[in-house]
Amino acid sequence: MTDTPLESYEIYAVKYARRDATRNEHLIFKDPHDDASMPMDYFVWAIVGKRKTYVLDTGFDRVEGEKRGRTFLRQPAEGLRMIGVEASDIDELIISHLHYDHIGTWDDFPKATLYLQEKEMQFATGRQMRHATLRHSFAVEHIEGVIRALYDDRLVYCDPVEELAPGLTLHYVGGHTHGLQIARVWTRRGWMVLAVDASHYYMNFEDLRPYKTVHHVGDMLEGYRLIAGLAGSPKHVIPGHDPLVMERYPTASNETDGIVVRLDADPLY
Amino acid sequence: MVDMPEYEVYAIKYGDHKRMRQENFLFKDPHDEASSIDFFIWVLQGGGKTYVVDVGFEYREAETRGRSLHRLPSEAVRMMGADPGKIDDVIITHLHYDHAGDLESFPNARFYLQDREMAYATGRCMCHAPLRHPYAVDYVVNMVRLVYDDRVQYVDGEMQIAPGLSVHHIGGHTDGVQSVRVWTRKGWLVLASDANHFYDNMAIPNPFPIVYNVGDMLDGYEKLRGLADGNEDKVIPGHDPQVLGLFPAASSELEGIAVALHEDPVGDMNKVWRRTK
Repeated sequence: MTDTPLESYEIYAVKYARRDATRNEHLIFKDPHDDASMPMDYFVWAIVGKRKTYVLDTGFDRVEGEKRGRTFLRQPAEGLRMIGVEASDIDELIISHLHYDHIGTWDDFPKATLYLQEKEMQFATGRQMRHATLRHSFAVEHIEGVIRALYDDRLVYCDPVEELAPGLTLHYVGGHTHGLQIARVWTRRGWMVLAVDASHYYMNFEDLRPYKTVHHVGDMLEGYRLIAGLAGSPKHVIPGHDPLVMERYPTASNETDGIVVRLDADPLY
Repeated sequence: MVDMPEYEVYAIKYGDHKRMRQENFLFKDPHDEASSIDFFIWVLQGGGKTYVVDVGFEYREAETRGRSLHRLPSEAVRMMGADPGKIDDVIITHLHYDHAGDLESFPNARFYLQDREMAYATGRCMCHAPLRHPYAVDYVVNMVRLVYDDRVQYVDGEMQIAPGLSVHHIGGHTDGVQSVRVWTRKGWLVLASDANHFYDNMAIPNPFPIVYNVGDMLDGYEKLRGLADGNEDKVIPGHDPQVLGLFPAASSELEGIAVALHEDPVGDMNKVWRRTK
């Protein structure tokens, strides 16, 4: 144990796209009596320390979003700029996984070193990509970009638990893809977990209801336990795609209303 | 036992590179001399079909690395009377630049590759420049695109591609290098590719210096002998210029370019394998 207090980080969620959907579209085990509207938000996150800012995921761009019928709101780098984070200055880019909505604008971060799980690359380039249903969420141009970053010495493959800095660790979670990782961050209100696609919505980890885009259901359910163990409380967990996040946290500033919320602030629920 | 066709197997040279003999061995040999490394692809014909093993490099990579490219690998296939556009099955022994470059010339082919080779070529070992050096990132991403086009058949260990034709994971040189075993009129023939570069690597043994795991490479020499039913004469190294002199030419026009590996050797096999008797 060290007596040095951990540095606490500020965390921001930046919304860059959305889509309409219903509840049953998200669930493996459907609920026949209730198929309410359940739209999805798309985020990238900034983890801002006193000395360094980390960005978690890069979203997708307009072309990819429109190809897939998403409502594109802004380039993720533009949303980050609203809180003073310049993508072109970022040195450390955490990639939770290689799905199209998490790695799409990697080239807006030309200086960054990428942090990724090796298993994710193996999954995204390996034998299971012959299955259209698993391949569908990847864009091969994105994978190509990441491999080129690897050959340019700009990619670090993380251990299953990787400490990037005191107060910031990455944790491998299977289930959604073969190599998803989530972030645990020390903040003014304790240990928070950016669950990304280990829990798309609050209901996934709260009610243990697996999301339908899944590689391994057992691992996804194990992931909900891992999330619970890493977070200070359920209110310290930030799901990856839930529009409730925008309601449950205050805006970062007057200018960012409905676009950026501050996650290390006291929640409004 | 299923009837196995007897395959005809050809090695076709598509390029070479002059270098010192020392450069072929992990442990230094005091008798250094000028030497060369030949670049081959292999064409297999049997059961009414033509199979290609490896697709070499193309002009751009040859220039980048200062290698002599005598003909495109797809042109070498054509010299054997086969149309690259009509080849259905291409075995890629591994993804190094001199084995996986001319992919686009085979627009209808399915490519057989070990899972572990792609994992290696896109994995954490590529953070190390010495291990990365023999790979060309353009070739690697081309193969990934083929994965997304559903044109890669991944192999986990070994697989029979057709009766009398199979691939076998060896490892060592790269984590996922595989060799080819094929039935011929002389019995099993093994195309080692880079599981054994030169006769001397395996005969001494003294491993080739581009190596990921020396233990696996040395184990691999034993595996290759086993695949050849214990007869090392049936193990064809991947880069040895002596191959062109040890076997008869595929035809009189292809003297010095292509040899028939399924025919009886015309050179002294005892000498290349350093057998005294």
